[in-house]
Amino acid sequence: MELTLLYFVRSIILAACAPLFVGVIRAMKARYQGREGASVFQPYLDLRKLFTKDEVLPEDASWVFSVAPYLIFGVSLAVAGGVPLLGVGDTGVLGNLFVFVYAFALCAFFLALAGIDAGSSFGGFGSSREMTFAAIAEGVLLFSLLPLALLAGSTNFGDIAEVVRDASYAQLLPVVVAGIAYFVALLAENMRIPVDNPSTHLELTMVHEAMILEYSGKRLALMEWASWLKLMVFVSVAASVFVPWGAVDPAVPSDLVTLGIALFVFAVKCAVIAFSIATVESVFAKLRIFRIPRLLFTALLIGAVALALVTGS
Amino acid sequence: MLDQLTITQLYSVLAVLVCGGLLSLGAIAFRARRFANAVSHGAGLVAGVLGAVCSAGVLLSGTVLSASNASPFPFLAYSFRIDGLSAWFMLIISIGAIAASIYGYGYVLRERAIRPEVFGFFYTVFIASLYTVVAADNGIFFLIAWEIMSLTSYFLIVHEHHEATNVRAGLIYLLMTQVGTAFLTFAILLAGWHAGSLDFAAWRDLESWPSLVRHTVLATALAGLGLKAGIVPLHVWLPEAHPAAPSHVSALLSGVMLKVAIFMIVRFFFDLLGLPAELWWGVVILALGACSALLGVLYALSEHDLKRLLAYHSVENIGIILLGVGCAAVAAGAGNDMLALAALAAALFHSLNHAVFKGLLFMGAGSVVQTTHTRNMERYGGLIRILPATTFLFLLGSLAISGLPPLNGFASEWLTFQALLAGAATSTLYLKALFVAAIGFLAITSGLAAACFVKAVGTTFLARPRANVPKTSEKREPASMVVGMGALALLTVLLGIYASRVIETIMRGVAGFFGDESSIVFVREGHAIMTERVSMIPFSELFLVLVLFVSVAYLAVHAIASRKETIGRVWACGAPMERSAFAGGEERAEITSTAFARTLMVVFRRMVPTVERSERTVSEHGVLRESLEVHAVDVWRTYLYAPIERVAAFCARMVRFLQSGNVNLYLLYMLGTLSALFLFAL
Repeated sequence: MELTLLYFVRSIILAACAPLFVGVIRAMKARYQGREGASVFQPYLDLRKLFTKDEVLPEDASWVFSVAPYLIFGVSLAVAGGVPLLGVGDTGVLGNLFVFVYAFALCAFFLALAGIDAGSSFGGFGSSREMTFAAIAEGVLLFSLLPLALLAGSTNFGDIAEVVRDASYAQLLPVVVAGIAYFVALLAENMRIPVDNPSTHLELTMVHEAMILEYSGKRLALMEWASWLKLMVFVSVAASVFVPWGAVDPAVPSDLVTLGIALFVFAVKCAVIAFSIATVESVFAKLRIFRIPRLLFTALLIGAVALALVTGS
Repeated sequence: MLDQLTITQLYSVLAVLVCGGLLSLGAIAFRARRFANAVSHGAGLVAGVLGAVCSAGVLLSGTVLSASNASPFPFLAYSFRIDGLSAWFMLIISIGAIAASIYGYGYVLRERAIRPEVFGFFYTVFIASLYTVVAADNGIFFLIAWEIMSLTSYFLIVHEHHEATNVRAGLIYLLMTQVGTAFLTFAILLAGWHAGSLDFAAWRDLESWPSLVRHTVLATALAGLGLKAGIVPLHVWLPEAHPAAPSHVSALLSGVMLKVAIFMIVRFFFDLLGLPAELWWGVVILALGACSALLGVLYALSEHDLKRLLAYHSVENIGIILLGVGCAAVAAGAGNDMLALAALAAALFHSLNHAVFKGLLFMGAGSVVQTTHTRNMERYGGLIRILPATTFLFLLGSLAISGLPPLNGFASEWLTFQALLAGAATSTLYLKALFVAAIGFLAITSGLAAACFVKAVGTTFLARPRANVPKTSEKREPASMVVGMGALALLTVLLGIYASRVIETIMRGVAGFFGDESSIVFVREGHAIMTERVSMIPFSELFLVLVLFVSVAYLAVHAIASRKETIGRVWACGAPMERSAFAGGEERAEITSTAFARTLMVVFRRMVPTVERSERTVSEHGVLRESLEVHAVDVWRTYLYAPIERVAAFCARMVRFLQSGNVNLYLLYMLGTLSALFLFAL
């Protein structure tokens, strides 16, 4: 019961912060491009507007199209519940790395089906590309997380965070190498540049935006929010599992001050990651579609090297 | 009922099946189609229920049932033995038989080409032979049952023999399965010759095997059984034969018959000849499993025939099962019994899961083919309006086979991952590299499987209807077909929720191979990598939490958001969405199966070379029509089987002079053979 409550607390926090995080990335990108940019709170306003709008559903679509947004959003919320946010220690079944990887695969599955279901070629091609990248990116994601799991002897994010936090410098080399692979997986899974361009519907190679092209109103809001939440979850995992310093130990009775410090440290880590994402998106161009698998396979190999580094020690 | 466990239960299962088969055959005289259909599928159902009760009893009580009946023939004894491993596979057969029989009752009634009298006979005898194969405890008896299984399945495959492709598929199957049986016969005779008895019990009692005999037996058995299981490169019969059979038989062939081969591989490698003492057999099995898994799913992606696609996925899943078996063999060779047990449990659990979801998917494909009269996926689309129940159940099966939580496929792939990860954590450098590679293969395979099933579900059931989709929903599947599929779909959910308990049951069932059962340290919950003890994540909690979060999201959004919805047409930048001369008179605005898979096929073209054929009609106004076909090059046929075929044909030509067609000469041959035998006996 207590664990379920914690799941809800974590997922509500992450869902609430996700639009802000995306707003911050957009603001940073605007600065890179020499624009003033919208307020960092603009995504909240977008969501509010979409939730109150009426919807248009495509005539060829079936219940898969209608149900997918709720399912994807719900599952993303659930995965968010397992991220060790400010503390370390077992975060329950939702914090298992296999659940993390395959729950998002479940989301991708329904997202791709919804893309096909609308009946236009845009959605279908988006789905085809999404599944192409996801098939390999899933492997990259696993290979970037497994070195940490091997190091910790556990597949739970909270346990891993605890071991990584207390690890010696010599043991941290595989974590750093795995971190590189994880960052590539983060960009690929969240359809950021250089894999996909999240800020346009006009790009010929669009992937995620193509699949949700036919959504409107509350379902579009859910789809957008779910994709922001997914990014937020990936970033939080990076912040709290790969760089777990500053997290509170749940065994220690934590007063408000320590909690506040942990929150501040976490926010700083997120901001640094946001800055690196914005930098990558501003400095690199989108890759040609058949170059992307090469990038992903390279990241897969980096993950394998990280695995070898753990097991070799 | 459970405490009075005797071998009689197995006899009653076999008796029900044989009686059902004979009654069905007898119905020919009265042309009683409906009676034959009811009695054969009814027998399958009753036998399945009895078999499930019997196997559950053995698994839960931990007893071993055995009985031996002497036969008038030398070396042959009708001996049965049901231990935990046999019982587990009996359970798989029973589940397959129950679902296939319920489904088959309605399916056969709608299928004019099937003669239920003859079909029913082969169907019931086939199921009986499956039970006998897993329960037989004598080499010759096993071979007889194995051969009955092969032959009855051949007759089931060619049952719709008005189509030439089915006959050809049957011929390929028959040829290859006979070669497999030859290997297996050699293995059994060699082992029997060394042990001095063809009773499996005598083999188990033998303290040690000379390594030459042991390795020869294992190698030939693996070849023979691998052929039946469809391991790459011995898989070529599988995509031909499985689609040719009626769909519920395809479900049994893919879901159950392949597992019987897995059963014998486990028997040979872990039981009959003692535990594997050397690591490299495990390495060989791991490598075979990794290749089968990845190539199987890539071939499936390139396939646009729904049933062939599913057949290739069987190759993939056999590969995943072999990853578990190989990991178990390596661990047993390294002396890590706990890990070996966990890995073997992963393989056995995935065997059951694959039987469940592959059975479900083949049955779904059957109802699609009955509605559309084609297996070509390019001619489907929008079937969700005609076949809503099939769509929902097929979708569940697709989620399960893609290894997505919270269904059963996720649970067994999770356990396989855990076993491989634990293997990587505990072994020396080279083995670690091997395990890491196996994890990589498994990860990419499961990702590709998800892509392939998005393609299968999306282009078959969703979006706009295409050429072969009827406009009315009068052709809905009958209730029995829905119930048969629904039972399996329910199992995909239940096995996902109660995965921990199922895995524990399997482990207790086969722990005997690795010494004392009490040595397993079984922890119900935990995330630890299984280097010291078995740990399970709480699968039931996972299911509940996912359901909870999705329902909360649904209710919350419905409470706050606008509910006004209107239906509109999709605007595809002016391209026509409906049939038009521009699109060649067909619905081509939506994505096709070829187009969906092509990106992935290009990415993996080094592993699966493809040929593309494009055609365009051009007029002075521009391109009128353009089409593209992408096919995988059948590398195995061209470079492996074609040379073998040429050699075989050459040898046949060389000895052709023996076949003169003169009866007198044949009589002389017989006389010569007899005299030679007499001389040999003297």
